[in-house]
Amino acid sequence: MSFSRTDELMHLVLDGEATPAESRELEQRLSTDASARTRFDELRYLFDGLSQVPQAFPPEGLIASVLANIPQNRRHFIPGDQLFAAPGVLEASSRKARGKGPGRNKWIGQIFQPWAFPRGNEMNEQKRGLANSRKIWIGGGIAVAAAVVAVSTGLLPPNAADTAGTIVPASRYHGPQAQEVNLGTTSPTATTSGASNATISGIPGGQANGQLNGQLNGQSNGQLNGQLNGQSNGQLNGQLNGQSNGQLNGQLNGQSNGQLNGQSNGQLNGQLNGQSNGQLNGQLNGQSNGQLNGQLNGQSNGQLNGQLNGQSNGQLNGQLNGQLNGQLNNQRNGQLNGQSMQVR
Amino acid sequence: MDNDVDQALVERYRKGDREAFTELMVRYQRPIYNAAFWILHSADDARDIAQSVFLKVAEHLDEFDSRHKFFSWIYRIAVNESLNLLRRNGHEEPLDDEIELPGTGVDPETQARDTERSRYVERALSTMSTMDRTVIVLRHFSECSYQEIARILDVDEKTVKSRLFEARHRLRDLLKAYRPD
Repeated sequence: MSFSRTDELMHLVLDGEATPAESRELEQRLSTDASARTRFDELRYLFDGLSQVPQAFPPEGLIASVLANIPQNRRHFIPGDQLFAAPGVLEASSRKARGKGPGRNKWIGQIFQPWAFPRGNEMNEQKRGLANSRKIWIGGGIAVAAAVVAVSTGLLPPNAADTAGTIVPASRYHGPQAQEVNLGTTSPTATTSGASNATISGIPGGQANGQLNGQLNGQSNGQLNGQLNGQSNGQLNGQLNGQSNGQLNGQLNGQSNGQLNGQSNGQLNGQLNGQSNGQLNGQLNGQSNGQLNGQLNGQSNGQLNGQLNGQSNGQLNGQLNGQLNGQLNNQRNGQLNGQSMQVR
Repeated sequence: MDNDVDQALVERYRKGDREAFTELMVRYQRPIYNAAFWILHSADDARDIAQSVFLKVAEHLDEFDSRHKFFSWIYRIAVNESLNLLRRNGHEEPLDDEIELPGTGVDPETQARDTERSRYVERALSTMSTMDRTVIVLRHFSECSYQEIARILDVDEKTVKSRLFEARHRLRDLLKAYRPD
């Protein structure tokens, strides 16, 4: 079939592939050729008719059926027939499965998974949203369950005990105080030091020395005890607080990161997994960091508190002990001196 | 179709991202199925062909030359698969003129909504030869350019124009026969 230049221009113009010059040329030709105008109108009628032919929509489950037949590791994809060669096993089996010739027979889906086409040939592509909404419901259920577990186990929000260090000011540690002071004469420290001091320095000196020694000993012991207790308590509180804060921060950060990562993947599953993993990782990281920070902070605070407490307690204990020891020493020294004077 | 998007998805799938292949299928399931349907005039065959095409793409994507358009490559597979099926089943020549068009329905109300012209075209199209129908489908339903059709059919552009113009002339003649006036 040979085409006139006019007919060729008609096709090019209607296909939108004509140059401006070719379009002008066609206009000129049509203006002088009535039969050409008739052919052009017929051709345009054909184009309009073709543009009104409805599109055929693929059946629901087409993608799922293909995915189900693609191996997870595509490197191990079993090679089939050549790309442009005559189709092999797949189509041949498909024909067999269908039983008769193409076109009119009900496809019974034996090649691909039967569940892939639960609705048969219906063109219900819009119903794919149902699967998505079901995923959303499942995901929502998991999120609610996770929240209930977190609240019931005290992870979210943390209870008052776990947050005491961050919200309530830390109370100073008060070590166990002596309820009674044994003033008996069997006290080796008091007797020895008191006696020697009294022998050398007399009554006032014994009191002063006793006070000083008592102060120093008490201060030293108090400092040491205070340091240790403070350190220990500080560590413990720090650990608990750090753990609690770490968990909370970790949860929030993890959740946030997980959500963002999941969202960027554009998948609901990704979101849920990301959230879940993020929570776990966040918890662990937060706990670990919290513990370390808590330990360090607790140690530091404990030391400082211990020093202050120890110093303060030591001073008080020293004063009291010194006073008491001094009194005791003075009494005993006085008694001894008195006895000695009587003997003489 | 945006070839840059296609290429990015191809690269992702080559690196092992299965989601990328799913996205490719989402992008192409409708045009591939539609083309196969109008070439084969059968919903069942079109579905089988679409599945087969995507499996072949998944299998051979490493062989795809990224200098070419993915669009042309997948259409070429679809057309070859369709033509092979017709050849194997001895349906190279005109099919039945009663077309089962999914989604359009056959009830009187739906039929009434369809334009008269469209139905004439559909009927005329079904009586055409496979090659005439293929070029018409690629140009009008898949909206391929002359150059893209040439790549898909592995012929030069001049041959595409010749086949397409001739097919239209035959279709126009058929349409005249179907038109009541």
